[in-house]
Amino acid sequence: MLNGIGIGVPFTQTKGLGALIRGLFSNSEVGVWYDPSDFSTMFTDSAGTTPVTAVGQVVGKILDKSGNGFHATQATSTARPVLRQDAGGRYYLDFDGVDDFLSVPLLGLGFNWSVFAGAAVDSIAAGDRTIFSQRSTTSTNPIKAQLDFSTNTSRAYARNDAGTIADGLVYAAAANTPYVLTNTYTDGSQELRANGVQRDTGVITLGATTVTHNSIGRLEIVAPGGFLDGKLYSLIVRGALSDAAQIAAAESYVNSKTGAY
Amino acid sequence: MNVLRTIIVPAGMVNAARQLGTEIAPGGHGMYTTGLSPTGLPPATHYVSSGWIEEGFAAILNDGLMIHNAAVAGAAAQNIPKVATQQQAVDLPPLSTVHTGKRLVDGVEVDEGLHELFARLGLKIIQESI
Repeated sequence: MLNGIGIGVPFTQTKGLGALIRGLFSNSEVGVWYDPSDFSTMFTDSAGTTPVTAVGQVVGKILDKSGNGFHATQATSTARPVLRQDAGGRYYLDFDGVDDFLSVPLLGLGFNWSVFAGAAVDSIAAGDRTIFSQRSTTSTNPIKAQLDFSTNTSRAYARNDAGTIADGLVYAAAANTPYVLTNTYTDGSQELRANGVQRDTGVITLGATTVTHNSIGRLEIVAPGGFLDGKLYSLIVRGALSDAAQIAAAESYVNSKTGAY
Repeated sequence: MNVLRTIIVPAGMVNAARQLGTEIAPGGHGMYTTGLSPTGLPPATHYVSSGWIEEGFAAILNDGLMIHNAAVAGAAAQNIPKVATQQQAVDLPPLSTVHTGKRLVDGVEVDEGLHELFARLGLKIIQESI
């Protein structure tokens, strides 16, 4: 573990936050927790046989620290993100905006979820830049738990099965600036938070939510797109109702990895 | 040892390029999914893969016969059918762009990013949106 080293957050504090994150999954809550600062969780290949040992190496597999075993992988060599370190010493996965992404086994998030991400985008002027997305590879609908950057904003997004109702919540964002972004959905109420503050809310009723895939770094769709041209410092997805204290803890933890605020 | 390569193939050859990638190595499965076009709108005129690949694979990208031989060996090693033809492998390099992240300008090698490369070639990524 390299938690806390050189990132301006005391080791004990970060370790304590890590215990809180483990607590988010202690009652068998479905979800994932990826930590690019933890070298013991990353491998250059998708099979998980060759450990990542240094910045600059590709990441073909990152282990899920939630205990659920939803490890994220990329089998295609050219589509693997690269582990890098920013000027503040923080580790991140660098996605090239062309074809890099990681696949996550399908998460049954139900109708309550929270997505917490520490991320930055290199170019934000136009297009969608996906951080996390849950949708279908055979249809453009539905969309669940979408968190992305889109044309000068950060965004939380959901769309129902029929594609007739969509809810996109946005907050102004700048390129090359790290953010802690949160998308929560609670029985029809969606919320976008940025850097620990509620920025937008909306209401959308989702149906059977026949999603088939989760991706980090791209939209799942018949013709894949929305590739992230940017950095992912931390990602937590939780398929359960998160209370204010849990949201605050998760955002503090993600910020300790991101340095957004 | 991995090296950075961006490979752009014409849309008319993308199926052969995908098949050759699949045959050469397991890590070649799933390449060339991102479309490019002069306007950034469909239909794609080209497809691109960009990332870090094994040095040995990078070394054969400009030689069709070596691509074919690697595909023959790779398909055998993976126990999958050899589908792509030698002619397809030979035809691919002259019509493709293989970029190393550098460009020669007046005999001097300078860095060239992906967006600069695409701009020089008159191509834009087709960004599917939600």
